[in-house]
Amino acid sequence: MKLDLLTSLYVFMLAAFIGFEVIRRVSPLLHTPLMSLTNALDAIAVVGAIILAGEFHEHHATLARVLGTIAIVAATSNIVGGFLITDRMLKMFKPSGSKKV
Amino acid sequence: MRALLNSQALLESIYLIAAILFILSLKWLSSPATARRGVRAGEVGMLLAVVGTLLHHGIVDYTWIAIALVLGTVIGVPLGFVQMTAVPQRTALSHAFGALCVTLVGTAEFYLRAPAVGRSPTCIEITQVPCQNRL
Repeated sequence: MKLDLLTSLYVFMLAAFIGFEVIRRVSPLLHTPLMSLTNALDAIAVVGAIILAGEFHEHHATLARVLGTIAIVAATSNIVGGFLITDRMLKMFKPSGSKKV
Repeated sequence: MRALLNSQALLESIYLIAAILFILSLKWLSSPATARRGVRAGEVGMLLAVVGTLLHHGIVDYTWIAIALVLGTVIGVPLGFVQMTAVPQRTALSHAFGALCVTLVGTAEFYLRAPAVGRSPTCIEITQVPCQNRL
């Protein structure tokens, strides 16, 4: 997907507003789970790392493979650990916050 | 199955759905009532994006990807079961891992898009004279 500079700026601007609006009303109670969930979502960069490690490269093939592999390890540990711990934290909310489902 | 997923348009739609799920995920995290649904949405979005990318036709070698995914999971599971009192430190460390991933991808992409960089010292670096003028 090729984007020109102006389109990219529009995407960036809209993403900034969406990000701000989505985060604005998070209750302070949930700030710690929010930090670890955003940390897990941040690991979406694994997509770039997979493409980097798996694609055929004419030059710098070893470099791309090594850096890509380390990047996948780092990102996967974030995905797995991040979602696990967020879910564990939210499970603890259940007993006290049982007024809602 | 693979032939169907080969189309670029399908992969891009998968990314779009994943992006929608991520936004919903953060939105649902705003209140304790819907927070766990938010985590599920995030997980589904991440799974879609990763599986979609793995089936992408440009990928020629799966060996290192598989090794890295397994190794990452082995590191990630203990990180998901740390003591609740250690969560702030754990999140900070995890942010460092995220930064490491992004940095490595960026560095590698820089070298891939500028194939002359780093293969051998350029003429300018050695002689302070552009290559064409050297001989």
